[in-house]
Amino acid sequence: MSHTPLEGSDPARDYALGWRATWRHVRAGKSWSGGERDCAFLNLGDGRFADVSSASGFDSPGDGRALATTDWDGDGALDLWMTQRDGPRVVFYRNQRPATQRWLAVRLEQPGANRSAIGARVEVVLADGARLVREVAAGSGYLSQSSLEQHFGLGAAGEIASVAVRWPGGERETFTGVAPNQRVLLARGAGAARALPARATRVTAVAGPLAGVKKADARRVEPLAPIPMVGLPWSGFDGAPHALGEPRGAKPGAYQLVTLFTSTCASCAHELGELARSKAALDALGVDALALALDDAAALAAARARLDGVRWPHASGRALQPFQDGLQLFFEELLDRPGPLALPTNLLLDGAGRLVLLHRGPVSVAQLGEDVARLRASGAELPRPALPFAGRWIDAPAQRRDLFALATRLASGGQPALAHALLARVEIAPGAAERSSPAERERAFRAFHELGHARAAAGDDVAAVTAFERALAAQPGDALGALALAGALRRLGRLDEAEARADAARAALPGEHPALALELALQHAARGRDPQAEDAFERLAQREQDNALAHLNLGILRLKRGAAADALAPLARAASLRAQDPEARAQHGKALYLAGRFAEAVPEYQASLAARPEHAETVYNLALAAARGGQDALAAEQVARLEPLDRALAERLRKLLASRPR
Amino acid sequence: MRVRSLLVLAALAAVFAVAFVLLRGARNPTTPSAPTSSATPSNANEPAPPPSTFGATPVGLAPDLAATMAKIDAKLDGWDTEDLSSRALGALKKVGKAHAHAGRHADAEARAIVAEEYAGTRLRPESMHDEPTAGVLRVRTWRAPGARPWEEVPARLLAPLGDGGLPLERRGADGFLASLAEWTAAFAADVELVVEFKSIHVELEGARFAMLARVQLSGAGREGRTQVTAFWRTQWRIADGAPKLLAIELERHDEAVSTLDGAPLFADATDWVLSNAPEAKAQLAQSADVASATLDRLHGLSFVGHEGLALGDADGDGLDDVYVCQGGGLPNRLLLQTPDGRVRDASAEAGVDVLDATRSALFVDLDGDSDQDLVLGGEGVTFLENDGRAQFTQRARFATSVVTSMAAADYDLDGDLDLYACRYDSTENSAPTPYHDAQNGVPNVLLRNDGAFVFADATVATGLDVNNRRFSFACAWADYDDDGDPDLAVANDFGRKNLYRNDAGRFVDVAADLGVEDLGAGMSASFGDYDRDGKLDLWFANMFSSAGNRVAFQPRFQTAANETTLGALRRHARGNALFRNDGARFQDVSEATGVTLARWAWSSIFADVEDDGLEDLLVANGYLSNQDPDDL
Repeated sequence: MSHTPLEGSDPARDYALGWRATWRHVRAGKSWSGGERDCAFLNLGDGRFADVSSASGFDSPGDGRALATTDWDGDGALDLWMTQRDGPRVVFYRNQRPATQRWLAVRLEQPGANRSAIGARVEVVLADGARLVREVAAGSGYLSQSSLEQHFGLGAAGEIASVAVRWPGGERETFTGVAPNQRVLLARGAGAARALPARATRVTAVAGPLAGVKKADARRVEPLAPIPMVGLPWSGFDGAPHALGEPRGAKPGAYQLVTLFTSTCASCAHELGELARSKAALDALGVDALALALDDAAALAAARARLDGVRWPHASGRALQPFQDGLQLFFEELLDRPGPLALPTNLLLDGAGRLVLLHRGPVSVAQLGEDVARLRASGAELPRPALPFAGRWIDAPAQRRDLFALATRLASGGQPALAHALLARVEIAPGAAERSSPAERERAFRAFHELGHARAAAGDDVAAVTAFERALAAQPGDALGALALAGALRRLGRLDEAEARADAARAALPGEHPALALELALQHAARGRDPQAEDAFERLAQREQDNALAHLNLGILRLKRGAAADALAPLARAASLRAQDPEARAQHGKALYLAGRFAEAVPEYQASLAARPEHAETVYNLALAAARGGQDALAAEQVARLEPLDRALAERLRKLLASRPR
Repeated sequence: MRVRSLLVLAALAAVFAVAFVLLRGARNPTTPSAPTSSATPSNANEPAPPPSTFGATPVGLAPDLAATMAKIDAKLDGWDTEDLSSRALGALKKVGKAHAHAGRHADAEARAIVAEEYAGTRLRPESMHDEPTAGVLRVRTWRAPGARPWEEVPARLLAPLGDGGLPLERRGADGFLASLAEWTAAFAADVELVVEFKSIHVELEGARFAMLARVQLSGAGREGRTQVTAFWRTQWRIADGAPKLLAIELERHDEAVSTLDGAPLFADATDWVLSNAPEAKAQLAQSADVASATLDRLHGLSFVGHEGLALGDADGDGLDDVYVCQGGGLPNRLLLQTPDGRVRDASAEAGVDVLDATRSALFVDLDGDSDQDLVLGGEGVTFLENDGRAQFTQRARFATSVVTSMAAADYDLDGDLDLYACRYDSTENSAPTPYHDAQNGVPNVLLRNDGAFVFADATVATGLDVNNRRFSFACAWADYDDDGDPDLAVANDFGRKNLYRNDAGRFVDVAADLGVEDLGAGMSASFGDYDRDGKLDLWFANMFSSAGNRVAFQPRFQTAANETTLGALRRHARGNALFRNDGARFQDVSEATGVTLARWAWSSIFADVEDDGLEDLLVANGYLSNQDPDDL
C-alpha cells in the first residue's frame, strides 16, 4: 500500500470539502445524529450508574439542547425544563416521584451585590453522616441556567444533622435544627434557617406533550433586502440562451414574475391558466411574466403543451439544471435552510433583476396586486417583512445584503460565473470605500481582483480593466492590484497608462519583486525594447530559478534575435517547470530544432499539441522536426492535419516535404 | 494508491459523517485535476494570476465538492466493515422491529437472516443482580464473566464464543427465535416496544464478520415501565455478500423498571404548563426548521437551533420563572409562573420580547438590589436591569459575536458578579482545524463587573487568554480546589477542555496537569459531587459516535497514525467524561461509572431525580433530525 500523495490531493482541502459536503447534505435534508433519545443515568451509589432513560420517561427523541432543573411546582422533587431544536422548542417535565422521599430546598442570601451568594457552598450533613454538597452556580450544562434554589434529596428517612454554608470569600456558617421537607432561606449571619412559605396552591399538572397548535404558513418569504439573481441561465424553447437580470426592454420599474413549473403539477397548471387570462391585469400592474419549465427533455413537449393549452401570452422557456443549482444557492442566501423546491415557485424580481418576494407555491393575480402595491409604496428599501410573532429589536438587522458574501457563496457553491456576473453589477456608492472597514475593503479588493483575472482569462481585457480599477478603488495602495491593472492595460495597448500603473506599484514594492520585474520586462517587450526586456527577464530568471515565465520569455527573446543556442537552456527550464504549457513545450521544441536536435524536438511539439491540438504553427514545426529526424511517416501525417487549420501553411509543408531528398 | 495523512485521519474520527466522505475520498483519489490551462496567452508573455484568494475557499471548487458529496451516497467501497456493519445492523433491526411489534411475529424476518448452524446464548440471563436504589426505579444488572467495558479495544470479536460466558444452547432458527422471546420476556406479548440498535465495534476476516451491538428495548413491562439495555456480541458469515447470523452471545444485560404504576418518573407536561400562554405555545411548538425556511437569514436565525433557557425568579414572587431564548426574528419568551404552576407570557410587558438572535440567558442580580437582572448572550452580550417587578431596561451591551453558554461568578471576590461568555465561530465554509485539536476559533471573554452596569473585558488581564482560541460550547464555575475562589471549566468542541484555576484573580489552565483535557467534542460542563466525598467532580458531555468507534478501531485506520494520535482520535468517539476529584487530581472514571454513551450529548447535568441523596446524570442529546431519517 503506497502512501504517495497524488498531485492535487490536499488533506486540509479534503477535510474542508468533507466538512462542506456534510453541511450541504444536512441542508438538503439528511439527518445527522437525528432522533436520538435523551439519557438518564441513575447513580447506584457505589461508583456505577445505570441507564434508566426510557424507564424514567426522560427519553425524548427530539434534538435536545438546553436542560435545567428546578422544583417548579414546589412538591420537593426536581422538575426539568429543556429546549430542543425541532418542535416543540421547549419541554417541561414534571417529576412524579412518590411523596415518600424526603427533601430540603435552600435559598441563600447575603448582603452586597452578590445577593444570591453565587459561588457559596452548601453542605447538608445527614444523621447517618452522609454529606451532600452543592455549590450555587449561575449557568452550567449547555445554554442553561438551573434554579438558584439548592435542592437536596434526603432519601426516605433522612434526618438533617446540620446545614453548613461556606459563603463566597470563605467564611463558614452552620445552621442547625433544620427540618426536612421544606424550603428554607439561609441568610448570611442569621445563624438560623428561616422557613419559606409553602406553596399556597397545590399544583395538579396534566401530562401530555404540546398539542393542538396550527402549523405556520411558510409559503411566502419576504426578503429583508433584495437578492440580485442576475445571470441565472435559462433558455427559450428554441434553445436561445437567456439569463435572469438581462435587459427586458420593459418600462422602468416593471417587475418580473418568474413562475417555475412542471408539466405534471396541477397547481402549476391552475396558476398558469390564471396568469394567461390576466395579461391585461398584469400589464396594468407593471408585471411581466416568465414561465420556466423545470421538466427534463423527455417531458418538454408536455411542458410546452401545458403553456399552449392556456394560450400563454407571456415569455416562456426552460430552466435546466444549472438554473436550479444556481437558484438553490440564491435561496440559501435568503433562508438558512430553504427545504425542497416547491411547485410552482414564484419569484418576483424588480426591474434590476433582484428578488424582492418569493412565493413557494401558487400565487394569485390578486395577491400579486397587493404585493406590488406594497413594494411600490415602500420606496427605496423593501418593506420590512412581517414577523410571525411580535417583539422588539435591540439591534435591528440592517436592510442591506452583503453582496460580496453572496458572491462568495455562489463561487464556493460551484457557480463562479454567477459570482462574477453579480460582482460585475455591484454598485459601490461614492465614498463607500472610505466609510468601510479595512476588512471590508480588503474583501472588495479580493473579489474585484479575482473578477479581473477571470475576465482576463476569458480574453476580455476591457472588462478586466474595469474590474481591476474597482479593486484598486477599494484598496488604492495595493501594488499587486496596480500590477494586474497594468498588465490588462498593456494587453489593450494602453501602454502609457500601463506604465503609470507599474510606476505606482514600483513605489510600493521592492525593485526585485518578481511580479513587478515581470511586468516591467513585459512592458519593455510590448514597446519593442527587446534588449531591455531580455536583460530584465535574464535578471529575473537568475534570481528566480523557478520563475517559468521569466525563463520562457528570456528564451523567446533570444530565439527572436537568432541566439538559438543561448535560448536552449532557459526554454528547457521553462518546459520542465511547466510541462503542461503548450507554449513552453513548443518554444523548447523550436530551440532543440534550431540546435539540430530534431528527434528531441518531436516529443516537445507533440506535448504542446496534446494541450493545443489546433495550433497550425506547431503542427508545421512538428512536421519539420519529424522529417529532419527521419520520421517521414509522422511528418507526412501532419500535412493532412494542417490542411483544415491553415491551408497555405499546409501547401507550403507539402512542397517542402516533396522537395526533400530521400 | 491510497492517500493518507494525519489530517485525513483526524477528520475521519471527526465528525463522522465528514469522516466517511473523506474516507471514501481517500481510498479512491480522484484523478489529478486536469492541467490548468496555461495562464500564458498565445504570445507566451503573460503572468499567471495570483492564487485565488476570493472567499473562504477557492473558486472553482464545485466539481470536487460535488464529487465529495457524491461519496456519501456511494457504497462504502473498500470499507467492507462499514458496509457489513450497516447490513448486519439492518438485518438485526428488521428482526428486532418485527419482534417488538405487539404479537412478536418475527418468524419470517428471523429465518431470513439466521444461518442454519446458528448457536447462541440465552438473550436474558436467568438471574440478575438487584441494585440498591431508592426504589422509584428498580435496576437489575448482569455481566458475562470477564466482560470488559465496551470502550476498550475489544478482544477479537471473531474469537470462538461460549468460553466462560453462557452456554451456546440456542441452536438453529428455532433456537434463535426462542432467544428473541427471552429477550422480551420482561414484556407481555401484546405490548408495542421501542427498539434501538447501535453497532459499536466490528471485525472482519475473510468471509466472517463480527459486531458488538448495543440493543435497547423499552415499553410497558410486566412490572411497570421497563427498559432493557444489552450488549450482544454477534458473529456472521457472509454468503453472496449478505451476512448470515451465526451466533449471538450475551455480554451484558440490564433492566430498569419504574415502580410508578405505569406512570413515568418524568411526565411531559408542556402542553399544560403553556396552556395559558397560547401565543408562546404556538411559537414554541414549531421546529427551528420552520422559521429557517420562512424568515430571511439576515434576521439572524439558524436551523441548527442552539437556543437555551434560564430558570430564575424574575418577578420576586418566590416561584421560579423561565426565559426561553430564540433565534433572530422570533421573540424570546419570558414565562412567569402563576400560583397554579402554569405560566403567563410576560415577554412584551416586561420588555424582553427580544427579537435579536439569543443563544443563552442568565438571571443574576448584578447590582445587589435583590432582584434578578437578565443577561442575554448571542450576537453581543446584553445586560438588562430588573426594577424588581419584572420590568427590564437595557443598561449595557458588550459588542461581540457568536456567544454560546455563559456563567456568572464573583471571580475577583470583590462582592459582585462577573460574567464568562463562551464563543463558537464555525460555518459551513470554515471547518475547525485540525479536527482533533482545533485552535482556529474566536476567544471567549471574561466581563468584570465594575458596578453600575459597567463591564470591562478582563480576559487578558486575568490570564484567561491562554488556550482561548477554541470552539467553546459551555462553561461552569466551581471552587474545585476548595481555596475559596471560583475556578472555571470550559468545554470545547474539536479538542481539549480548559480548567482554569483561579489564583487570587489570575487564571492558570491546569487541565493538562490535572488530567481533564479530555480530548473530544465537548458540549457541556458542570460540577457535582457524585460520590459524596465532599469534593466537586467534573462532568463534561461529549459526542459519542458509534461510527467513530467502529472506524477508529479498524486495523486499516491505524496505518498512518502513531499511537498517541490514534488514541486521541478514538477518544474523540468515546463520549462523555466524568472526572472524580480526588483532592489532588481528577481521575477519569467515565468507563467505570458507565456514563460515556449518551449519543450526541448537549446539556448534561447533575440532578438527584429520586431524592435519594445521590446525584444522577441527565443528558439532552441529538443533533439534527431531518425529513430524511437516513442518518449521515
